[in-house]
Amino acid sequence: MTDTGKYHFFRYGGLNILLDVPTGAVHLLDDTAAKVLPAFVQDRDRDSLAELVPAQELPAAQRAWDQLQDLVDRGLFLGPEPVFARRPGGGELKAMCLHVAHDCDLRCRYCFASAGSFGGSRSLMDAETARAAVDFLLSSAAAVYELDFFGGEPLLNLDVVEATAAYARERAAALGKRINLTLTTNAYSLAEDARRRLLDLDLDIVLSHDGREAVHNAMRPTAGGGESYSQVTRNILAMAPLLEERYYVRGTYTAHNLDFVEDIRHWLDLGLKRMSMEPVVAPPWAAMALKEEDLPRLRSQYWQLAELCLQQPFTFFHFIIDWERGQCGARRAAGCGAGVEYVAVAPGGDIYPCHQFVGQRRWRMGTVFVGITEPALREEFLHVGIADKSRCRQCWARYHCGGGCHANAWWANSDLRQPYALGCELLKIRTEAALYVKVRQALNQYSCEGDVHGQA
Amino acid sequence: MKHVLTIYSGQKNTATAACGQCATSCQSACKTSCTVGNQVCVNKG
Repeated sequence: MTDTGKYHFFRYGGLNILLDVPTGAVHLLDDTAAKVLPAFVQDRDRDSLAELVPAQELPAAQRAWDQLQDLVDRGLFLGPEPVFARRPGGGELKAMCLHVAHDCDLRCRYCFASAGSFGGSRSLMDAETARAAVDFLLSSAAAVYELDFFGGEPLLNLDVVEATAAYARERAAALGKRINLTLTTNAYSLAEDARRRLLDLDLDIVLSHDGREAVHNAMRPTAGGGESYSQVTRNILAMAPLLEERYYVRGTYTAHNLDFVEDIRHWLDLGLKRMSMEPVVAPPWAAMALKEEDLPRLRSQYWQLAELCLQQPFTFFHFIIDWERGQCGARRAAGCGAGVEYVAVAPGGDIYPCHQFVGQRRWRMGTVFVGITEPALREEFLHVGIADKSRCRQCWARYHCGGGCHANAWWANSDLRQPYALGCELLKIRTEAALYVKVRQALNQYSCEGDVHGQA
Repeated sequence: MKHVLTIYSGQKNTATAACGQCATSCQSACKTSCTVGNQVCVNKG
């Protein structure tokens, strides 16, 4: 594999795949072109080929060289770095994570929220604070908003969720704006009545589940220490079909289930079709923490997952790459938007850059009642895009990643501009697998004559 | 003979670039709703 920051070359499943980083263009090389590539990118001296390949291979190598040069001439390889002058939506606040409950009926062992309390006392957001949060969100100049009901476990405060959802829709409509609502739940309390009430709210829903029974039960016990798999699974299987495409099942894998593709197979066996499985972020001393030595095995898992995606229809969130409409470069360059376009609000009304920073005084930006009182924090987050991070500027995956998680960077390195290294490696592995799936699907769908996707 | 095949020409989405309509949140924790982890434009305009 090669990585200069301008391009990335990798080989899998008999395919030589070349990604041009600035444009996102993807090329398939035959073995001759793959052999020529290192010399081409190093010195671009076509005459050097005679020293690199046997005489009988020279004509083919020269043809491959010329075809690589043709890519350069057409702006599809080794071109200039794009410049994105504008942040998405002009940097207006447009997304909010509303922590309606700092309490939870589960005690997940990897929970970054300290089992729902975020390091503080267990509490629920009242309706007045939730309304103030909505007013604060809608006071920005954005046109489209996202409001996510989060916790802890938001079903523990379902009355406030309902009242706030209604208020948010009413206020947005009055202002001529649009608002999309989501809710993230562990599904333990998602009984029939709760399911009906959520369906009435017209939400997108993320349902947390870890896959196989033993894996799930080991990581997601109830508050009383009991097993949660049966109840959670029963509730999810009752809810997911009602949501059609408006759900994701979302799991976490740890060092205890490095064979996490088996958990995805379990979901498929249950009939679930839309899913995401995320690597745990845990202190390095924790037994569940992923380690550098786990990377080869995890790489193998993502390749297995890629093949699984090609064999049967289901949606794996992180393998979705938009080749129909093209990437939004501004979004990729700006990253997740935490602290700028996106904030989280604690039950008492305090504002934080994102849900992962909630409860940490260092990152308190203000309150929904008085607004942002620490503008320097917003300014800090304005300057943590991929162009601001030396490691990202050199990384081939930057336009597929967006610069990584700021909270992970802070916890790993006490520096928002120093990405969490293990997370970077996993992202790159996952991106290779995603690109491989896209290439395979394109090859299956189209003939192999000429460009098979998009206009060259 | 073709040694290099362009599978995807890598066009950027210019029609709705930086429109800000996409969800924006994290790629690492519980929230599967972002356009950082999921690279799809949601603007149908």
